[in-house]
Amino acid sequence: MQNDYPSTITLIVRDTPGVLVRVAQVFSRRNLNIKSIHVEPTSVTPWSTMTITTSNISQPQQIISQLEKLVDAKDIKHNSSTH
Amino acid sequence: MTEPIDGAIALIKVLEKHGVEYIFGYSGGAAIPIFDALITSKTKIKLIMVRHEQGAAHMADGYARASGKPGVVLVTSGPGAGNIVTGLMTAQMDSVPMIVICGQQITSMLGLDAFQEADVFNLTMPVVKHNYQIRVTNDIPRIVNEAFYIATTGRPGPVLIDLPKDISSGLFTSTLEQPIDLPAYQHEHPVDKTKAKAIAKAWLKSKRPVILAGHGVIISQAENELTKLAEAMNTPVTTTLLGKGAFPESHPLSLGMLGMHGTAYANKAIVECDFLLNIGSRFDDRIVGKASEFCKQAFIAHIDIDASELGKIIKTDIAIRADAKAAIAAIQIYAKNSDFSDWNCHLDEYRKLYPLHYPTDTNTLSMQRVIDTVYKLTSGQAIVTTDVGQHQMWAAQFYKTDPSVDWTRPAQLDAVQDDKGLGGPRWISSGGAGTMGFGFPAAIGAQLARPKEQVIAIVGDGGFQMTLCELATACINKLPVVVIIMNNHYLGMVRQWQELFFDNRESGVNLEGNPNFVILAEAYGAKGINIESPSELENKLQEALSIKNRPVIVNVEVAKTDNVFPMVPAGAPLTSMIIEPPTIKLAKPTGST
Repeated sequence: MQNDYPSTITLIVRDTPGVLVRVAQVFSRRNLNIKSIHVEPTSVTPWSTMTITTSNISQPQQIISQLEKLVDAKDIKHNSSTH
Repeated sequence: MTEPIDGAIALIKVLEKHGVEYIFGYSGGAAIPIFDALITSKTKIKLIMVRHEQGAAHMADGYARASGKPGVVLVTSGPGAGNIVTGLMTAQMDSVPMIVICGQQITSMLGLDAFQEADVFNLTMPVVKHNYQIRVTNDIPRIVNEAFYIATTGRPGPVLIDLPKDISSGLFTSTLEQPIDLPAYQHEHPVDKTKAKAIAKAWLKSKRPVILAGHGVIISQAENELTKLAEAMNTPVTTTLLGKGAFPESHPLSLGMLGMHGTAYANKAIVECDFLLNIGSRFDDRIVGKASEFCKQAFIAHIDIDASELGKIIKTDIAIRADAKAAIAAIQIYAKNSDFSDWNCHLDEYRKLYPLHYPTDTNTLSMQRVIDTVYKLTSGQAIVTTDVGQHQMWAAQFYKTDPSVDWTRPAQLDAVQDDKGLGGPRWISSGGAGTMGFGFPAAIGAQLARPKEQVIAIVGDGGFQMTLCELATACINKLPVVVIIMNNHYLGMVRQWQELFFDNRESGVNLEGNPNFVILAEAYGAKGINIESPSELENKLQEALSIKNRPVIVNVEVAKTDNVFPMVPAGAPLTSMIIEPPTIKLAKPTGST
């Protein structure tokens, strides 16, 4: 049975038009459904924190390195929770 | 006080600063201010006016691959921008630097379904390395500078700039010298020397090593370094389709291309090797076959500038994220004169047992024979572009590619050309995207980049008809591109699959209704030549290659139902390679393409 524990990815993005689409496309292309997403400005302009929850990601390193390729994203982290 | 300029003139001036010599473009309402600036700015940049935007994108692509400098495209909004999506995808898949500027509706009308408005920014996001929509006229220099920086650093790729008409025609009041601002963009990755040492250690311990060289070696201009390393370690080298030219195919250590239609000896070497060093290839499914069976016995090391390629398809024992040239240099430090002579002798046996071959005793022309003849007539020195399909695979097999002697560009390109007219990659093919219609416009771009060299587009009758309108572009610019149409009146590779895997049911592959390509060529002002028999092949090809003042279209009536071998069915392990035509019915492939 597929592990359905959620994965959480956090990243810092440059607050610029279209950045949400760029991030969402990385997930959508790999057929990953975003269950929740939260974006909040950090204390430093122009950066925002993005927190994304999806169903379990089988190859988190692949998603992380795909997100790292985005010109406006940095500090990508993956957490897998068990509850 | 200097005269005020508008955004479009600022754009052209920044392009000049980046050394742009050609813009491949097609006009339209939203791009009029930019095209106007090509005149009012008195720029030396030459507009190459195309006949379809897809052609512009492929020309810029061919120019970039031949010159090492980004190709620049200028198109209008809506349908103009829509027509370049295939070209962007082609460049993105094959890591080609390109700058595409699109006209756009005025900003106040964006999203209101204005005439020729398309959401090009979102439409193109998945097929570019990065893209922009400029909202402030004074930002033009910074964004163009960033676009060039992103397109040409790290793993290269296309960058698109959507430029609304009110922004391009707005007053520019800033400086043209604007620094880039890309704080999250990282592209420099120093080589991990410990890992380089570990790779050399595993290599020296191995008995049957193989180097797999990809496009990354060519992009990094590391051909000479690779040859030095392979020779030092006495290790055979196979290349991917786009890696052709990374290592001399005439070299005794060369195994030629591997993969679905690679040489039998390359694929057998991969199956039997106990050490594989992949430099700058992304383990594409057409070289890997069944990933879980690929190089199962081997220690696998992988070098790539793009971290997302490491471990994506094939699990590796050591992976280094770095530029190919720097990584090769780091490994070279530990290279020792190695004796892999048993292994090399073993592979020589395979070379003798399973050579690439074709029948020469028939009255029918095979594509292999045509390509082999072109190879011999040009001494392997031509720049060859292709479309996709059977002709592409046979061209890869029979047009052997050696690196140029003086490939030290782009800075020294002009000097090299003045001396010998030689320099730079000679193999330009749409590998990842497999784009029909790529070869001819790419040849136009390559000819503009390297005017002194012989440029030959080897294309199919199907692919050529997708972009043949660029005959006008080639003719008005008097480009002596030689287009060799391998005319089998079929979409040959799809027909081959239907024959082998679908009980020979031909569906959607018959190109009945092809025009007379000779008359068509003459109608545009090009030279048309027809070849129908082996006896006239050499003389007529020689004639085609001798014409230097206009394009030449050579229609070659080739065998209609020939098949490309060796062949590894899609999704099958390399051990399932078919070397000769099968006598039994084959199961449908499990892989996609």
